[in-house]
Amino acid sequence: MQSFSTTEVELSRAVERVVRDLFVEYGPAIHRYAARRVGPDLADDVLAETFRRVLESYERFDPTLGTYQGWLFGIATNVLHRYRRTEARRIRALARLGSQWVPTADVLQAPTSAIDAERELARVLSALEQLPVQDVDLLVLVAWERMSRAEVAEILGIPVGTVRSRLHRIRRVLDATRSAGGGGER
Amino acid sequence: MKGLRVFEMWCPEVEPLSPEAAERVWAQVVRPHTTTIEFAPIVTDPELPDVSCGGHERRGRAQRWLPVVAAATLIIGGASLNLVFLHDRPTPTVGTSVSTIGPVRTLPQQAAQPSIGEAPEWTSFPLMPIAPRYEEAAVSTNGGLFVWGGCCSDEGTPHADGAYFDGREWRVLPHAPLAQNRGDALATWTGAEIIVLNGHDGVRAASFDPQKFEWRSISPPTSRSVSNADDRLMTVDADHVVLVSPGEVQIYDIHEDHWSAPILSRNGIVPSADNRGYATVGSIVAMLHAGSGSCGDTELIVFDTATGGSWVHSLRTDGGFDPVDLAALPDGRLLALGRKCGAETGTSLGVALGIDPIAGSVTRLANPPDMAIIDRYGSLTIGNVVMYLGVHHSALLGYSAEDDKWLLGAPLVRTSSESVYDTPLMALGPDRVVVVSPGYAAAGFACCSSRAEAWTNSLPTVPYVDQGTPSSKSSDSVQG
Repeated sequence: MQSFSTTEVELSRAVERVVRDLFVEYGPAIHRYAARRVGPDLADDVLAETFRRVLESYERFDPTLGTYQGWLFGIATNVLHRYRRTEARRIRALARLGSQWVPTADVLQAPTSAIDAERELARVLSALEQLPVQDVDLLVLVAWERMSRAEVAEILGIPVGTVRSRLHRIRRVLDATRSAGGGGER
Repeated sequence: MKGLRVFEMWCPEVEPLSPEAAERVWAQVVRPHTTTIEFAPIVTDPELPDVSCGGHERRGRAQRWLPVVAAATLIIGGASLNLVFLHDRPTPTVGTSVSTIGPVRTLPQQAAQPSIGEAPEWTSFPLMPIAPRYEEAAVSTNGGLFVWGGCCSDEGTPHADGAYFDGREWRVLPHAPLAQNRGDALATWTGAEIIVLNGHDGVRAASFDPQKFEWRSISPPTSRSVSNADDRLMTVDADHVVLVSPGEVQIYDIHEDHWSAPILSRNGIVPSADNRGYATVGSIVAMLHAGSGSCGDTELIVFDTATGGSWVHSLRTDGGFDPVDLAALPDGRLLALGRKCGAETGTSLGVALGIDPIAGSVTRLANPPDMAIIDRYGSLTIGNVVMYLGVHHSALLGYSAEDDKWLLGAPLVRTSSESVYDTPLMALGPDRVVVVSPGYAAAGFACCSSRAEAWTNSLPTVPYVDQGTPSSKSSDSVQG
């Protein structure tokens, strides 16, 4: 029969309490990030799996090397890779629902009609499916989660310069797709 | 509209996580454990609404410290655990009673690491008579500090003003003959004046004389635009300044007020993207380039402004070298800072190389801590110590060339739990550094002051002890 020392068990409990606090603090943001990518139902699973991994690896995290936000979003991003196909299907489905897209104030103020915007969106989404998963991670973190380049660098475990260059390439891909579809710079 | 903008605006709105759902998910997290710990209901801070698309989340101070408070309130037992108390980490402590038994883990034994808290703390420097900002141009002069430009007013307008610290006090600079719509300027101290470039769709150039406290316009380079994210302005000697931009190099003759035609771009030796760091050693200008874009394909591109010669060294290490920054060492070598390819967040996989820019010979230096650093401005060298400012805890990171050792400084007091981005380091005298106007990456960095702040500290002092990471020196070979 396996036995555990008192100290080990108490320590395990203490770690759980701390991870619970991280869950309270960062859980909603991780859930939102996952929900945008794979939908609200799977987001619960992603969140649970993320914090399971956090619980397992808490002792290995060194806060002098990064932030909790970076660490947690990094784990969540890895977990999300499991749902890559689901994410692609979701993007396709949302693209088909383009007519239900509610333009933001920015769009309404821009010299672009709603129809043009929908067409542009469809082209951009088609390009999105062709991007490597690492680029999709980066794009979502920058464009949807509004992370700074340094924050994205930490989450993805790459230098800030790599974020810049990858973002540059992504911009080119997205812009090229738009141009190929007949859109021009406005 | 640009494709990226379209994607931004398409951001799906999602329902925030409800307290009930959060409890359900947490139950899944701890399912393998037969815990009896009682938890309070999860409640999202009502003052911190879930961020909507296009917004930017900021965590409240109380929320940020939750883990720390939680850890501190645990009862401290008498067990003799070999835990290392790392800075800012909510280290779990041991309780006195056990009610259940579940799967447990044993903490790994770690090598003793000196605490950053032992380093001298930052102290407040006189407030600057200008608005808070980040991405500004900032350089040290002989005992003075020069700051100009930066981003942005509450309306998003770049700053087109600045200040100069003359050793006693800050003074607002007179109006500069520079582009008023572009804050991220380049600047370099020539020994007599500060040359500043900025502009988009047309570069403006000016020189500021701190003795006369006045600007004068100078000839601009031929570049269409410059920014301190992509370009670097460096003083080569008393007569020349060099502008390194994606795809080209231009040399400015200070006395002739004349820029050379773009050099090197004709044969394509200077890449148009992915330059990670620049440094000058004597008449030599060196660029650290990420190569083809595949991690580990790094090149050092060297140009001698005296002879016009140029050459390329390929840098290949086992495990790959993803470059971050380049600096000049006092002995004439270059310090290339980077990390191993495929490094995971939270693991120490920093790599430092010492490179002879002429021969191309490469030696592996002591492993640096794998801190995210502010690389927009490169490093600051004072004496034998090359320094960087860390992004997250804003701690100083220094490399002592004398004894091949990495040193850590204290984190910025005000920002120890915040992130600081794109703020330059400046030297003040032979043993002090100054950070001006620390700007947070999130909006609203000017939360606490209407004037730009500045902080000062001595050089980093706490030795960094590499704890046997996979990037240990002995396991890697280096080819220059």
